[in-house]
Amino acid sequence: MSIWRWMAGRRRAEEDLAREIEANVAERADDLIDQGLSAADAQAQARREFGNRTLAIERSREVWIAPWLSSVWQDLRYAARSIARQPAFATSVIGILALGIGPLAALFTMFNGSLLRPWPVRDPSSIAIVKPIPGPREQFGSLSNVEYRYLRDHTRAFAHLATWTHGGGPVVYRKTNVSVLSKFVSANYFDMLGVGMHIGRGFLPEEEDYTSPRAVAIISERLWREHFGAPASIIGETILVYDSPFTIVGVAQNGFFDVETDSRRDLWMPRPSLALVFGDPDQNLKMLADPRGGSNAVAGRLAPGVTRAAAKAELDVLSGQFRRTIPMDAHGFTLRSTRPISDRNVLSNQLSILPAAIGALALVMLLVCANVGNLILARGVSRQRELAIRLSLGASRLRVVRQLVTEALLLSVLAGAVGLGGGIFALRVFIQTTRPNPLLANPDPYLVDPAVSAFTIAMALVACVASSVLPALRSTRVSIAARTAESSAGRPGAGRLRTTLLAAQLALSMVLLVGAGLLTRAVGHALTVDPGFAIQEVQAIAIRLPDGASIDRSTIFHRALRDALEAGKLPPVARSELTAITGSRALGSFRGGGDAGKSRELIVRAVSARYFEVLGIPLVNGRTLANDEHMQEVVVNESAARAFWPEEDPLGKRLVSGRSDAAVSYTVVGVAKDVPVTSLSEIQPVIYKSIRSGGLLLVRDLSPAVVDRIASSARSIEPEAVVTARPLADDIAVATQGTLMASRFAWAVGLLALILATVGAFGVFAYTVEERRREIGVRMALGAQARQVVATVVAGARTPILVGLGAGLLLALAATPVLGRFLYGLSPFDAATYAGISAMLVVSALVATWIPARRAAQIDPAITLRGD
Amino acid sequence: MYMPMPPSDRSDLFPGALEMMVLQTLRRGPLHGYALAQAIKQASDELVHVEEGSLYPALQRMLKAGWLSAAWSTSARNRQVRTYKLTAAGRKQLERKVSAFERLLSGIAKVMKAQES
Repeated sequence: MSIWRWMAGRRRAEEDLAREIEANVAERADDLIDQGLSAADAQAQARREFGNRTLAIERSREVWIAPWLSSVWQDLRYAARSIARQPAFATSVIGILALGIGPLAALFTMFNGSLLRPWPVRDPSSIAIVKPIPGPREQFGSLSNVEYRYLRDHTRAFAHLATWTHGGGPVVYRKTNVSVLSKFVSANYFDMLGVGMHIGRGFLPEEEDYTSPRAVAIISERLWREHFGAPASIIGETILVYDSPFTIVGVAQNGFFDVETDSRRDLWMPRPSLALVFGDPDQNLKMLADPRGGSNAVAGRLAPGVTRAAAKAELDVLSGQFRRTIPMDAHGFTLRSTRPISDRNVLSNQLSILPAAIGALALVMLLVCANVGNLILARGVSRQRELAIRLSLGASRLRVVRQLVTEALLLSVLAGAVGLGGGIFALRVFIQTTRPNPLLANPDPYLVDPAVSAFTIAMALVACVASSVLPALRSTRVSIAARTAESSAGRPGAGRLRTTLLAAQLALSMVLLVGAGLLTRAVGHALTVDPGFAIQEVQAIAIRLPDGASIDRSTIFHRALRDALEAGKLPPVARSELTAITGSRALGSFRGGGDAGKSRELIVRAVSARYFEVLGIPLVNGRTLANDEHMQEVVVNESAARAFWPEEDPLGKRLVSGRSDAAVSYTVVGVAKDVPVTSLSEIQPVIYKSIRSGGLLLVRDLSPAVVDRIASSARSIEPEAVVTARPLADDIAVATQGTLMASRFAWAVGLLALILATVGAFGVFAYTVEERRREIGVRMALGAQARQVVATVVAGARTPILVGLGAGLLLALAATPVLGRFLYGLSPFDAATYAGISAMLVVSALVATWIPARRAAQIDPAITLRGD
Repeated sequence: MYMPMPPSDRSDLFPGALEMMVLQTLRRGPLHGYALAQAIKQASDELVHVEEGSLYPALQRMLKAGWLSAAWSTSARNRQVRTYKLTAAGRKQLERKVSAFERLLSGIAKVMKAQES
């Protein structure tokens, strides 16, 4: 029986009982009227005779509810009443706790949505993602489309085994033109996921035709409704995908946007039809027919009762059979769950940021608990008499402690709800304002699911225990006699706990603020640091044809433009596939010619011959690339040269990439100085290859005139060409974006911590003054000056402030090296940051103590002493 | 301030006496709560006064134990009341209680006599 039905049943039973008792009293009153009493007297006497009605109901309830449960219920009701009596206290506790729980809950929601949640389809646990294991000399495992089809046709362990590849681009339906993400899938893809169609049908097996691809498509319900106006007649109509006509055969079921958590897809086409959309169809089909080519994404739904291990064993055997015929070594597969966290690459990406964020927020949570603990402690003192009475009436200490903890629990749970609501709201706002294209963003990943609720409740419990148990034990410890008799003489024990908590708060704020300060300084530092080439003097000019221009047209244009630029009517112009410093990178595996051993990962940059000249990157050895893309020449940077040939002259050496049977060999003609290419803080081994046509134009001239000259040269070839220019130094701003974001996050968290610490300090000293009111009154009556009183109070604050700051400094010195590569060479022990933050903390701590001290100085001894 | 108390019958009766009298009274036929209290009062020549405040928890206990069953019906004064009826289990419980009570009573009587002589 569910708890709710049980509770409903109990409520009905209690209503019955109340009705029954009402009837009893009425019957008695009627008897009394018969005996000659007036109606009113009879009613009153009947009630009196019945006795305590509430007690009767409560004791009847206890018959049905286990005693412990009913006493928990009492605790809760008592706690609710006691909280309702002190709304200001309750609001501040809930508010402070929510500040701690909210950010953590939001972070967890993000973590959960992007890493923990399985694919949003029916029974995701029976789906396994199939990853080929790389061989000893490979970076990635290979699984060709032909091999996939062999596995699919022979497997018994999988009910469906599907493959896919990603795509995206403009889609035109009648007059509507939208940009969407798409997927090219095997015909059984939707069967594998268990996703049905809203209207129309799924793909037929014959539509996955690798000899003559079929141009059919399935669109999402959202695309159909929001962008195409939900025409029922759309089945059989034509859309243009990158200028190629596709016939719509189905609209997928409502709410299905494919399975990625960070994006949504609105268009699906058969796997072979990729050949119709991108590039040369024959070339594409030849690649799909190569039994050794490519690495295909594959996932399958396990047949009922088959374990993942059994399915892996079967696939390994099948792969071995298949590869014997090519022939090729089989390395087997790993099968992983659909939770993104089971992918090691995804995990290692996230792990670079997550621990720092969690650490910072956990520190805030600690602060929050310390703060709330202080509040509860202070309130415990003002409740001394109540507690003492309860203890002296025979309540066990455990029972009273339980009562106090229950109150804290109620507050924490409320705070958890408030924090989660606020956190999710902030997260949504944050995502909406930072995502560039809401059309492509998946709105769903940041939902509150059972995992998020469980996490929030756990956090609330932690907050409750951490903030209430110690104060509860403390406020119930002192002997009853002392407590009932006591007025408001201070107790040193509680004072010490409070000042310790205060020092801890200051120390933690110090750590967080130093981190924030360092990150901010690092961004400023990065903007001034010299990357080793003339980044500040170069302009980057992008030239492209308007959207919708065919690939052929743009190829012809870029060739013509390249020839025009190299004809030399313009200042030296270099071309590069990517901008100078960018996180987006192409990687390639290369083997040194003589060294038949392990291959190395290099960052590949496609550039023109003049790249080094224009950017001012010195060539320390050899010459630049030949002005001919067909010469297989490369320039490597110093790091790459050292990695491959530590002892030898790299010039003339060979670098080989690709599989041994289809290897491409390059000759090293030059060595360039090391400069950062992916981020400001790292130097990585780089290989510079010749760029074909196209690319970004780079010119060492910041004047608008040079842009005009290049633009007019481009427009003389294609009048519609679109030209945009920007300083290359923007790369630095882009590269430091992450640190900038991190510094904002750190400031938000750090200031939150500072506010909490200041409020906490203020509360503690305001309370101390209150506690010592009588003592101060006596002193002033005996002639103490206001200044002396202020000094006494501030002196009490000195130790915790100094201890807190000292401990904070030590902790910060120990913790900040973690920030390492986000600092762009700024020392994690940057003195200016430490000094500035210390000053900031000292000032806020002084403000927090000075105000209560001023108030102490204004105490009127006459009033205070009369009050006793 | 409300402090929880251990559940107990606050009448001066010994434990179980109220239950026994209720079961005995209901042997003659179903009754509602007020009528039950009145019947016990009259049968004892008004020597035993049942406080309704403890009668209802006792009735709930006996309902839970399965000695009684309850149903809504109409009183002589045409009022909606809940009437209680003895079940077979209740009848058996009454027999056990009465024999135990009689043994106890005769034991007490012997002690009292022994003290007199």
